[in-house]
Amino acid sequence: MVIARNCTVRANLDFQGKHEGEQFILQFHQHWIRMLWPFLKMLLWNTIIFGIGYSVFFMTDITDAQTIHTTLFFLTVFFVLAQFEFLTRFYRFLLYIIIVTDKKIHRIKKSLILTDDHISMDLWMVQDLRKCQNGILQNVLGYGSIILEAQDTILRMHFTPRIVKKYEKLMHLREQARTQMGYMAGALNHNS
Amino acid sequence: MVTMDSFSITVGWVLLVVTLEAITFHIFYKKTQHICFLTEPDLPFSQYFTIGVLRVLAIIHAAFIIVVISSTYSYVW
Repeated sequence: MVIARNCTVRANLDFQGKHEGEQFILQFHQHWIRMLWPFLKMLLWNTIIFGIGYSVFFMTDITDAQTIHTTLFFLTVFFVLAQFEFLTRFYRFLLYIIIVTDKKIHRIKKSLILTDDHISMDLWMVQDLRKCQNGILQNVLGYGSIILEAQDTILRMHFTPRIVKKYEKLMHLREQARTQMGYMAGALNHNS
Repeated sequence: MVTMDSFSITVGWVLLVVTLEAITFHIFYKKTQHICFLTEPDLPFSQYFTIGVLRVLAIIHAAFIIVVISSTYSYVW
């Protein structure tokens, strides 16, 4: 994506929910496989609609104008609905984003109208970091779920692409954040 | 008279499709205001997903629907 606005240095990227002193590390969307089923569903609906249209208008002898008009109207409604359902799913896919900084992990999840979620979690607070890859497809295409647990909060990131790399990077960043927090706590104790 | 009916109904559908496409894209654009999208190695063709390209894709999508509807109506009505 190249919709970055008002940023010249990648590390200083400004994004929704960013706190002062946070340094951008990486971001990712869900794996493209997430869009496969909506795409197939749209193709399936289109095939069914055109199949029904073809069989009604070209394989039968309907001469009544009212029947033709009503059938055409309903087929068009379903065609338009199938198209816009796919379009909104595509926009929703683009509006689901995970941003990792040196201190936090942010999950921004939006839909066009109903959803506007933003969850952020301090990396140093993460107690449990799990990676799940179940099934042939997930292992072949290298995607899966990363689950982060910190006290009462659980952050699930499904359809994470290149999961092994992301998992290792998160482990490394967590250790880095913990070291930093330990150093800061030590400095505070020393001062008091 | 029949042609006129077909034309006016097609125009109605065209207006509906254009309006829906414009509204959905406008909402999407507003929602991206506070998100920075970057080129991602994990997402194929992500370098082409600029807001300009997405706008063009929305126009192409609307044009596709309009062409399908208008050609079907002109043939079947």
